[in-house]
Amino acid sequence: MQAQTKVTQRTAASASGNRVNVLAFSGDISSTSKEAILGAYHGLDGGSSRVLLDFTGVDYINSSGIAIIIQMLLEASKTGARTIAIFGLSPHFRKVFTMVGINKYAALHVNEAAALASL
Amino acid sequence: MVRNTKAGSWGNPRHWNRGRIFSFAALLVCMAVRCAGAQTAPTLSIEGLGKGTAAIGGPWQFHPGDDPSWAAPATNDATGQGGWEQITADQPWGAQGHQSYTGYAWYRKHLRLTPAPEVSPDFAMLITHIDDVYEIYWNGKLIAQHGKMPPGPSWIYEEGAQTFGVGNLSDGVLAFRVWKAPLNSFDSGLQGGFSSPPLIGSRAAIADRRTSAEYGWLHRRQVFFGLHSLYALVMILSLLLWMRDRSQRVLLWMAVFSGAPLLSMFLVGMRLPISFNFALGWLQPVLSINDVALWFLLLYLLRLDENPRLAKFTRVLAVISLVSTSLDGLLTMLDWSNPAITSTAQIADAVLTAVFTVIEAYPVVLVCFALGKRLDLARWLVAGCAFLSGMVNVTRIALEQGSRFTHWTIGDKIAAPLFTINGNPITAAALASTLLLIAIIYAVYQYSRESIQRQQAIEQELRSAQELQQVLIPEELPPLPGFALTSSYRPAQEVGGDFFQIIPLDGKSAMILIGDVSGKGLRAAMAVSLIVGTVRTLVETTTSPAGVLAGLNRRLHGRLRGGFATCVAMRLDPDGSCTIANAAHPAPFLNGHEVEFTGTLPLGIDPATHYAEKTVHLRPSDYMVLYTDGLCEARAETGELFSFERVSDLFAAKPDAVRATEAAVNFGQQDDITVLTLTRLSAGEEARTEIVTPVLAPV
Repeated sequence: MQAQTKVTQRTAASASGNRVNVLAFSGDISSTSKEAILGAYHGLDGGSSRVLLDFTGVDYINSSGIAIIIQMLLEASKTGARTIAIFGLSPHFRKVFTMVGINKYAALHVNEAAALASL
Repeated sequence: MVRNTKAGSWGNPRHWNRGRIFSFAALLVCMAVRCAGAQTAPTLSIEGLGKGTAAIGGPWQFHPGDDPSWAAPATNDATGQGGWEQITADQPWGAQGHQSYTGYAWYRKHLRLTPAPEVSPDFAMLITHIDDVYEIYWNGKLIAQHGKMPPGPSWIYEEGAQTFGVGNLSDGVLAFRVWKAPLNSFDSGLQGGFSSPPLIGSRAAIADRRTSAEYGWLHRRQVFFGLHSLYALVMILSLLLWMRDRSQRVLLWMAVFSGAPLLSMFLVGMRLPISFNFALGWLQPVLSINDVALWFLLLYLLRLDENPRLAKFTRVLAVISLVSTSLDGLLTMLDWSNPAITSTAQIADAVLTAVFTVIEAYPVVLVCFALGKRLDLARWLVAGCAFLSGMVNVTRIALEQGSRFTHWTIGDKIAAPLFTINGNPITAAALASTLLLIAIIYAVYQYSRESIQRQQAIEQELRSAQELQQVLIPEELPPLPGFALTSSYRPAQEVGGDFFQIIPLDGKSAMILIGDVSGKGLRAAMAVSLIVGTVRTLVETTTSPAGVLAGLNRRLHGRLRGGFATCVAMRLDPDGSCTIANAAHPAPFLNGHEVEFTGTLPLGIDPATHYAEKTVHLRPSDYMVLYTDGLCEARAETGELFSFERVSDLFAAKPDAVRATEAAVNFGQQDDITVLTLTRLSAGEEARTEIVTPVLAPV
């Protein structure tokens, strides 16, 4: 039943006119998604200081998938060079993300417009 | 008019041998020159032809090209006039000054046949082989033909001698109109037309010769057919064994490797009436399948599959080989006699053939990769034989290709028999491939034996892990004074990542922990064992749930290999007070309402994480439920999640642990599910504990 994770990259402009890199995930996020997600994140150029994670196309995230997202956010938090925000989560996963403290490392927004307004 | 009679229909086989004995005695063959002058075509005079056979040998008048009038007896075919020349029928025209000539050509022979007294002059003719299609004329009249002339020519890939009833021939001209197909890449250019002179004789004698030739062919093929029976046996056994255990891919490749030669045998080795184009067209991909199967066998047997890049490269090469040979096969099926496509087809054939000839050397490359490896004797035998067989084949094929330009005959020498066994010629290639087959059978046997042993070892490990988990998940507990407790644990795999513990603290209070390690299987179970051991030690020094989680977090840090654990720790005191700390775990529900917690990082990620405590007081009949995310993340076939909403509705009905678990399992279990319910009892009610854990099925 698990669908493979796909990651697409695009750019957008924040409300304040800054360039924002958007990583849009789709499919399921589990232990097998590690390479796709961290690969895409590490592939962002050093100059991209604002990153948006788009979960609109994600159907399911298991605990190993959450571990991957946490790992990515902790990396960003350690260097302090990037601001990351998240949008497009279903109410269920919004609750899960809050439960595991992800909201302390990345603000959770309802949609892209709200996320871009915050950056 | 045209007859191509089967030998078997010519009378009683018991007379054939007798006919043969007569054939040596009854014949007198002599050559006479009919007219004086070197230019004139000679006449072959066969006198006293009775029950035996005679070769229509000696010089034949030969003319490349095509002209229907050349069938007529009156045609001036004198040597040196009108383009006529003399060659023999003992060898192809390619070897007699017409190398690489293709297309039409005519052979003519002036014959005078005198039957033996009292013998009916009803003759038959035996033709061992003519390359590729031919028509036979007697005094300008078509009396027989074999194969179909262009356009859309057709002939048999490999066949035995052909016999034709020719009736009463006495004095006249026997003419053969021959057509040879354009050269393909392995054609030496030394072929074309006759390779041995036709025989003429009585029907019985000709039938006898044909039977004897067929018997000789069968006799020389004993080893070939014996070896292919072995291939068939190996294919059937490998296939049956593979169907029993489909994870053993090596057995499937073994079946393919031994099945491909059988297909080749049906196409080109049994003299079945299959057209040249069809046989050669299908032979290309079949040979490629054989090659590819050998590569994958080598990959598995020489442990080269441990190298993912080499494995990927092999897969890519397999596709290239199959595509190029299939295309080459399709090319073969085109009508090469059409001048519009001949040269294009020949160039495409040469290119495609070059591609898979280079690829033929791949087993040698694979063996080179295995050189640095520690392999047992069986595998070294395979490596050695694959190397030998690969070298022999590559050298032979590479040298045969384009030999009409290089004039190298080493390819033919390698293809020539090394020795014979009871009249069966054994070539270097046949010897090498037989050795390879035997070595592979031995190595596959060893490989399968090792796999079974490894599988048994893994199953034993799994059994041990299950036993370990049985110890970790409580099966039986003393009742908690003042509480009715139910619990249910349902792992998603044989070994799960959920855990719960109820640890009596001082005889009255108890520490309850419920949690989940990210991931599943053996690795998760090992993390669980670490957690349970740590918690049991921690409660000896602290009764604070937040203290237990903080201690656990520090000890798990860096030990979960990028994973984490979530956990709720709860201390129950006899007065009904309940102190709870939560590390990123779904919060407990009290009387249908979720106990609220601020989110925190899970255990094992950041050693400095702080966990807050919250205390609630439980009154009689208060109902509390703790659970793992396997419940809320149960997932239906449609992909829909059970979700927190359904969890909330479920717990509002205050089910026991088993009922709650069943609800999620029926929805679609994905992960381990653990549920624990607590009901505060009124004074005087008897404490009770119901624990449901799965009964482990024997592995």
